[in-house]
Amino acid sequence: MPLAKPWQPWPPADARAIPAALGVFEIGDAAGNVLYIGMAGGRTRFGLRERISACFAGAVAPSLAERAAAYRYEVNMMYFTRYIELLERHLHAHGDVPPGNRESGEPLPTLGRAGRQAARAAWRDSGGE
Amino acid sequence: MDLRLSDEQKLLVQTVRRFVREQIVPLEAELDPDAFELPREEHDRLVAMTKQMGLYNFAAPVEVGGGGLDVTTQALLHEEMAQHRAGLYAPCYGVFGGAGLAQLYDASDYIKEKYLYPQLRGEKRAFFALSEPSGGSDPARAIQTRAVRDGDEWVINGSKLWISGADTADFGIVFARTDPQAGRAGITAFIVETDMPGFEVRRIVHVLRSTHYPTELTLDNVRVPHCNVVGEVGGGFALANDRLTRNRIPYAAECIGVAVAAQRRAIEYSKQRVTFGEPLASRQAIQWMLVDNEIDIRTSRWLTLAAGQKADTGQPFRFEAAMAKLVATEAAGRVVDRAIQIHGGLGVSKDLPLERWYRELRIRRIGEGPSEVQRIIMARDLLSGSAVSELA
Repeated sequence: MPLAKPWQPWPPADARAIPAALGVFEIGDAAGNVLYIGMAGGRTRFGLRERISACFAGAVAPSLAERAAAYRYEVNMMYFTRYIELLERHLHAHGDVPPGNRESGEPLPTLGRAGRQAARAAWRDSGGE
Repeated sequence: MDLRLSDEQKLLVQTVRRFVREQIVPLEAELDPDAFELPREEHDRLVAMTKQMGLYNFAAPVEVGGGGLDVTTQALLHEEMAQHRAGLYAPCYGVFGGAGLAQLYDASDYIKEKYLYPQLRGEKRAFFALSEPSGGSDPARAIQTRAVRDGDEWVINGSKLWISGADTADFGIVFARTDPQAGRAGITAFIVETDMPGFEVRRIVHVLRSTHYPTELTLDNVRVPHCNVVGEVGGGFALANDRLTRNRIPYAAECIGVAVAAQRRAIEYSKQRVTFGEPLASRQAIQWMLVDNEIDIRTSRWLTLAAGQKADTGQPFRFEAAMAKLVATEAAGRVVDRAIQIHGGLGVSKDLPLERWYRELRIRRIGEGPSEVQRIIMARDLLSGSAVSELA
């Protein structure tokens, strides 16, 4: 399943509007292209709020601070498998993980083939090659 | 029944215990609390260590290049390997290798060369696909996936559910019905490669654990060569059943390992934590919880080692393995629950591994045959007279 949430412009009117909860998130550019897929795991002090803010501050990957325009998130206690699912989906649709994930140098989990056909079909339906 | 450990067993247990405490536990301080993999360089470094120790693939038979340890010793080591945060479903993060797919030990040389040996060398990953949306506990009746012979090939159609590791695997064993009229004698095991046309991992199924997460598969006219039949056509159910029975012993041992680790934490914390001017350990309510934990742990261990001894001495052990699995999975759940209660709020936080063990142990009462199925197995053996107590 894709992260079916609306993009929200950065910065939010109130940073506290982003929950300090565990979950997954995506950072996008102004055109809605996904630049980074992230997870707010059990070691974070302020969950999604901390991790999303770090991306826009350039602390995760420098280019994110320049290109990132929006974010979307999903509060999810099963954040790890959801994170893998989002990365796999992006990988199958685009042939690689988002550029910010590569640039960040963060170790990627082992990615497999789950949802490959669905991701490719959705990408074609949206006008992708 | 003699449950004393041999000198060799004691040495192995101490070696693995030290490895877990000195190599695995410190690494976990840097990982996400739900992590199930080590960074590649750490994984490779530790694999080199276990190979040097002579313990890589200790559970696989000598004939296929493994360590050939007996079932009792395997159980002892599994108990040790599980004593860390990820230990229940990712014992030592796989750096001790594995046993490969046991169904392949007696397979053709072709299958062993192409699939088993690469898996044992860590070059290929595999999955085991028995359960379906129609059920998992009664595979003889529930399997609806069909395989139809077409010349030198079989054409497989159907779906599988709760299949761990299929999205990252290179191949797997898929059980399919080849004779709809033959009941359990109509099921055959096939090796299916994950890049065969028509094979699709539809989705990750999000459950209480992130480790070894399950997936859903579809097989749409997947064509498999006849040489990929494992064992005899129609012999799949016996293959699956044997694997399930054997696996119950290390499965139980891992639960005991987690219970031991939780009990260790509960004892330490109850002596440190002071409430109303006294350590928790001075309260009878806490003392009784600790005693009940120890009874649960020792009962489970005795049953598990007894099952291992029966397996090692060539006696029927289906009843004993089912009992060990049933008791150990339920007992470990109680132990971790009490340990959480003793720790209070800290017990349910991700600062400690207790909450992860609590979630993952809940799955253990369902996986590899739920508690109710273990009771069915035992009841059958009791009523048929095949389960005889040693003291009878």
